[in-house]
Amino acid sequence: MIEAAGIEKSFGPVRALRGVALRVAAGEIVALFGPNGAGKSTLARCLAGLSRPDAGEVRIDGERARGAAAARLRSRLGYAGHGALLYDHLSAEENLAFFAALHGVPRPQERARALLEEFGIPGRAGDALRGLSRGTQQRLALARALVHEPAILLLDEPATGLDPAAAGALHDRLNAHRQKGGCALLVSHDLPAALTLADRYIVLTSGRIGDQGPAAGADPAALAARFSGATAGARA
Amino acid sequence: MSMLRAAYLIARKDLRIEVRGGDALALMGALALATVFAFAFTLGERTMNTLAPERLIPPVLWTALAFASLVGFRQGWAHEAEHDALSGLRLAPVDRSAIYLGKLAAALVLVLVLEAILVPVSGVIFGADLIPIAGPLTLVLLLHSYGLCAAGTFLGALVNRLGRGESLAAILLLPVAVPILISAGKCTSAALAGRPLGEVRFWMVLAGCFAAVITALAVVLFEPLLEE
Repeated sequence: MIEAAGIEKSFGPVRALRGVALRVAAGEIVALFGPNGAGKSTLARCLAGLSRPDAGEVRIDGERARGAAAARLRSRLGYAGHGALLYDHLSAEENLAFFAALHGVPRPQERARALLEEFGIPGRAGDALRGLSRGTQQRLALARALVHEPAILLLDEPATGLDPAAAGALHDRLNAHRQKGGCALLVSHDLPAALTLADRYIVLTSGRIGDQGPAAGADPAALAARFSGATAGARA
Repeated sequence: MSMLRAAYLIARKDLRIEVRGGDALALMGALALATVFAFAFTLGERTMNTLAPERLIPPVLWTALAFASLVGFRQGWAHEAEHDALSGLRLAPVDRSAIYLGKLAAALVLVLVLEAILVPVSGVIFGADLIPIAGPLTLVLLLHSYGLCAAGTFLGALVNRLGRGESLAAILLLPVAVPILISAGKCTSAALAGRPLGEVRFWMVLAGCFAAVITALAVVLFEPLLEE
């Protein structure tokens, strides 16, 4: 479970997050929507411990993710963001094995090979990251986020660059993750796909939570129109 | 996982990147050799015949090393900027100071490899017989290279964080490294002259203290430095 309370974050004069509070319980997938610049990625980075909030706190399984506890609690988190968080000069297998080892995964090489198989790219194991297509890099980025089998997933637009088959496989993987008691926050612009998968949705507009509710029965078009309208209203 | 184990993994990864096509060592080598040859040509044969190798080599060697190592410090962090890879390291469940220690270890290996080429070349150009003084010279090079890398790796991280280039790294590193460069000059000169290092004990202790203080400061300040 991951929860945040009163998260504030500014970049100079720009207030990216304004008192955001949310909770993603075990066995739950929450979709986070919002227009560009709403603060979704900043929130995901704050929850992952990559960006320090100016105010508020993040708790992981009830423990405050600060100080000495933060390093230990990071082992429960898997994060995929806009970058692949991988190295151009290393091969696909070397990249995954390195991060597996860094997360203390036993037999990191075997884990890397298993993930390459699972993500459908065993034939590219020896290829350097820079030689891989955008979609293959994204698969590897997701494999890296899952390398230590974290219970909490923070995925920022994870389907970007994936073909329909790979996006479907990601969908299945997240469903399996939920069934095993894991939880996920899914930042997405693909409202129909995310609503099919998620239990709840949250809409972030101008750094504030504007709307939330159960995903079942939510109308993607109406939701998109509502948050577009809210943004226009906020700008006016 | 222990901080040292994580640092080892990060250092090994950096060196693997270098082997796989990172160009830090090639750039460092080219710059350092160019500096040594530029000194040799501008000093001229008469000066080189007049001055003893222990007077000539230390300033040339450490000037070349200081400038060349700047490239290495910058390149090491540049790999972390690609694809936001540094965030991948920051997500690991270890003390984030391990990132600094790992990158410091990798930078030190690169500088030592560079010295393994540069020192014999300097010996040949400036007419020094290095074999009889190999032991004390190695000790001097190890200690001062560590100090230089400890400061350079930290400042490289700062420059990377600020998104600035080599010029800022040079502006920051050279003043910070003044104590280590002065000490390096004195101790290298003593080693090359075949004098016992006890004669330059003050400078050796100063270099050791500098390295220890810089490392301790960097370990403490590293996590705040990385914060967004």
